[in-house]
Amino acid sequence: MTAEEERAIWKKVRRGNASAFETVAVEYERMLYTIALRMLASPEDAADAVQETFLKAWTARKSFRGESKLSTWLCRILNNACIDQLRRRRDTEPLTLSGADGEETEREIPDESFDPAALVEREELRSRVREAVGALPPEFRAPLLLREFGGLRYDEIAETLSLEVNTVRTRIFRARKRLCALLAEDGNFSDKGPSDQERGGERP
Amino acid sequence: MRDCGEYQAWISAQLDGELGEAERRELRAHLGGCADCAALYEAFSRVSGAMEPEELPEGLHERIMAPICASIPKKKAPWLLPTLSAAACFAAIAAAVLIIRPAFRMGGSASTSASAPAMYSMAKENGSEVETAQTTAGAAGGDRGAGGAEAPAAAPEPVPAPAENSLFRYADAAAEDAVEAAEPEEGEDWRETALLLRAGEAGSGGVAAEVIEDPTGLFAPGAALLLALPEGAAPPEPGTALRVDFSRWDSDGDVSVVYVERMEAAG
Repeated sequence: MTAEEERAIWKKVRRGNASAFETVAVEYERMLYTIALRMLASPEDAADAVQETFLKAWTARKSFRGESKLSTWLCRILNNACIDQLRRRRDTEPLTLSGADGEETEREIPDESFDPAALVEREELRSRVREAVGALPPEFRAPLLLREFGGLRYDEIAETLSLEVNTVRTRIFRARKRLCALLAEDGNFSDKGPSDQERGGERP
Repeated sequence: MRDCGEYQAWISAQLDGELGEAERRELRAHLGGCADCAALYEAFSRVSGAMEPEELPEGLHERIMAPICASIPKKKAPWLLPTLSAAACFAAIAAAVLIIRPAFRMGGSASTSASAPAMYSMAKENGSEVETAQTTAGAAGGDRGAGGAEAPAAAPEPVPAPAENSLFRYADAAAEDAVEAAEPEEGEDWRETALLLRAGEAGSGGVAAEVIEDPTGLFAPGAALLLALPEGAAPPEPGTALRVDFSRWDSDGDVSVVYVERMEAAG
């Protein structure tokens, strides 16, 4: 959906047009659900958070006038919904999605476990990455998810999480390093593989 | 001379398209001569490549839309939403498919595409009924529309076709008209979504405020805001509880600036 299409659709939404809102829901529900599932690690809670997000967006539709991207606004509402969900869980440590930088010592990637023989199937890697993302501290996980699944720019993530842009940049970097370290610790992660093709990107 | 740590941070930014052209060139040169950083680049790329969106659970889309449908007051579109239950909401839409689709066919201008989102959800919710509706529509209008050889003696009045082939859109266009006719006053219900705040000191940048409650979930309770008041508006007394409607907001680090459209003391 282009920015222009988004503006036109939201104009209809502001006037109470349910089908226009459904277009928005179809566009973003999968992305929001993915982020919520990674944040909450519970399909039921993630579904609740996504439903709550869209309901709040509908309720507050008149207050969104397109100054930021719709996805940024929705992610911000979802982030608050996830925080609420986690707060409701008594067994969860107090959440600081946008709190201070973690002081933990950075784990370096053990080079010795980059063993070409440990090359795993793509599906297994996805599964392991999913688990490893779940093991990240929330303050690292949130910006990474907003980037990887929400497609938000660093400045948009900063706006969503009320962080400085440089903090976002640092946290995403640290999140990736930690993910690699977690995967390497299991001994089933290799730095060799068709990464560019998988990502569809190109090396600088 | 930069160290590898700095280049490694650049690798992450590069993968996100957040690196400038000069830095990008420098990184490329470094990766050509540093095996460790090149390995990290590959590792980061693989991890990113392995992240894929989840499939939406069955029924979640309908769960999302049900309260939206139910929140539209009956008076605004009584023919669209005869009841407030989600199931009835979708049943009503399915019924509309049965009624309106053949009419479109008779009008001769509707396509058979069902790609619009509403159709997607309806097909998911009421797949067999939609299929039946289309079959029925084809049987009822197909000969007249396609061949035209056996036009009936008393053809029904053509129904104006919607701009897009979505029954929801067709319905909503009428619903919007109904809403506008029923609610000429702009912002009649602004208090429903208004922020509840406690005003602080006024300064040159605006009035400081703390969020007490935000029904829309945008701001967490306790969040610090800076209120940009409309021109000529008198700043509230510090400590006053306010109900605030805003047109937009900007976030700058820890403080969000809220552009106030209207406000009143909250009792």
